[in-house]
Amino acid sequence: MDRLKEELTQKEQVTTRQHPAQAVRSFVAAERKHDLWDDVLAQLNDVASRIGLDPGMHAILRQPERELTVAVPVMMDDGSIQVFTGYRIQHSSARGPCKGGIRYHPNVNLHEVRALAALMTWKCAVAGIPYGGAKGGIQCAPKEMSQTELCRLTRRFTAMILPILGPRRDIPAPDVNTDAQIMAWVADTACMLQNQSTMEIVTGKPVSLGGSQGRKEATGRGVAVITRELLRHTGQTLEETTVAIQGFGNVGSAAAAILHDMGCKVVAVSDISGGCHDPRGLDIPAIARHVAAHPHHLLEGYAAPGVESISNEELLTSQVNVLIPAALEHQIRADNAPQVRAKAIVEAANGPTTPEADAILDERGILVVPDILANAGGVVVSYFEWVQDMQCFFWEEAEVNRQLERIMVGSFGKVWEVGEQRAVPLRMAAYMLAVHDVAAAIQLRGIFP
Amino acid sequence: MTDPVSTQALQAPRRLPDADSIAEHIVHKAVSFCAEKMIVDGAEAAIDRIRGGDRVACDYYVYGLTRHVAESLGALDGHTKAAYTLEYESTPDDACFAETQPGAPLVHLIIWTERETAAFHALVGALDCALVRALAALFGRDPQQSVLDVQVVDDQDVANRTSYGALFHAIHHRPLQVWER
Repeated sequence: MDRLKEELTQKEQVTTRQHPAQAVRSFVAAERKHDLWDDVLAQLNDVASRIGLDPGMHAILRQPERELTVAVPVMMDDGSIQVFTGYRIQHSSARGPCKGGIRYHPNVNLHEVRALAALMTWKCAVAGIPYGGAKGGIQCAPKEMSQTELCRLTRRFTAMILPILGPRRDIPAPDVNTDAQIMAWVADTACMLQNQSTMEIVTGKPVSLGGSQGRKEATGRGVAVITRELLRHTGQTLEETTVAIQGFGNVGSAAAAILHDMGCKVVAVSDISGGCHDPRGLDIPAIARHVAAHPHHLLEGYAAPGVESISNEELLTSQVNVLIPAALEHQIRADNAPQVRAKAIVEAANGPTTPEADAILDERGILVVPDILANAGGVVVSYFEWVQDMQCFFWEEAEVNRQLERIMVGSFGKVWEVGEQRAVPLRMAAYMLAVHDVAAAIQLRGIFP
Repeated sequence: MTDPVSTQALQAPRRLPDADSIAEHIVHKAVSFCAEKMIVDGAEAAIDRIRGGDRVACDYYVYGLTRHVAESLGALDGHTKAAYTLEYESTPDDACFAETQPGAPLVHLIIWTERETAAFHALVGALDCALVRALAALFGRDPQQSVLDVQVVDDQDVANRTSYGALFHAIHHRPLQVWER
């Protein structure tokens, strides 16, 4: 045991001598640089050919408007200086100021940030909110850094990209490993350097600093509204609809609660601890109370008459009207798509369906409402946060929810219409609508000068 | 949560000879890590913050547990290649609106191994039990059911993008590497 402890201690010392931010490497980094942006371009090319996109517009959209790479020196707690690499990429500002998150992760790279910026352009266009797309990030290991180090990193990064940020230029938001505290530091740095109150420069702020009511449930609420609209357009009633939701975190639990209140039968839910199923419909309020009281906020241990335990895989292949993957990426893949028995899928998570699975589901006649439409509720309420900050006037939660509903209903209707008119799956319809609207904005504005 | 099927297949003793010592070492290192990052005076101050539900302290403490559990598993199992952790929220921008994690930690690990074995799952199960005892002793709380949520992937899962192996190619969800051989 002493020998083992000694080995462990030696290993830790080696790791500590290499700064964690440099010590962590990803085996997929090289592959990913090629894959991600190329995938986005391939998708854009496909959409461009379908909508007959003007070659000039196509050329514009194939490149981000602006890319900024910065070296961010930070004095660490031990007195050493580390230099981190940060990025901010603005894909398109044709429809309005750019919008997109900032992520802190050791594997952040230019290709990934570029791809994510473009996806934000499409997402905002589908949602019909007046934003373009952007994304940013810093290559760092945030969980290995103290709060003071994170603060210095954030403030220096903000100062270095501030020339291209602004409430009417580019509005960052939280993303992987960033949160409301990081956004507060970004906003405060901007306020200090610009010598004015400019809290509207970021979203995802705490309510006390200008954040919006209703943000916590926004994505889940948006998913529920989209599901309801899907049912309406396919001639089904809420009461006759059975739903299975994979994932019972912030998004999944909110969607389950709201769909339950709407009258749907949520017959199955799951999380990392497993799932539960009742063909008569689960008591979602009771499950929510159980999860809130559980030490790890999990479904584990929930029991009620008629409720049986199921696995995540069994939930994905359960016989329901609507399947809502609200957990991780790549849950519905080529190997399990043939077994999916839902009539429709509403993508609450980002990227839960692989392209190969998409093709299988389409062939099988299973409707898939894509993530860029279904989970846009969060970015819509981020837009509301910005609107309220700009007005310095804040809405009650009921008003936020009412406006969210209006926007989500409108965007579903437009995507559905394109899907019907062009006889394409809803994912393609969403991208066609997005690319068309962004290109139309560019054409109307003209090419400066 | 370990794979119940594999664990049942091997009726391993629920106590490894050194599991309790390893668990105490892990918990001690995690608290020290928390104290270092919180810039507080010693382990007791960190423990007070964790007991009080300080979200930042809890995050550092859980990450410290995660890292040191990964290192221990890597040292004890020669097939383990790397270990990752993950935030379980469907969209990254919703993760910051999730509930504050209470004082009962849950260590999420994705272990990339050359070969998934029943012996590894038994190891995880025994370490889990030992960590439950160590945490109960340190924090004076009722023992919680489990501390470890360990998902195992092998080379095929990563290459074929199946199971949690698909996440290594993910664009939105980013597993964070906490250990590699």
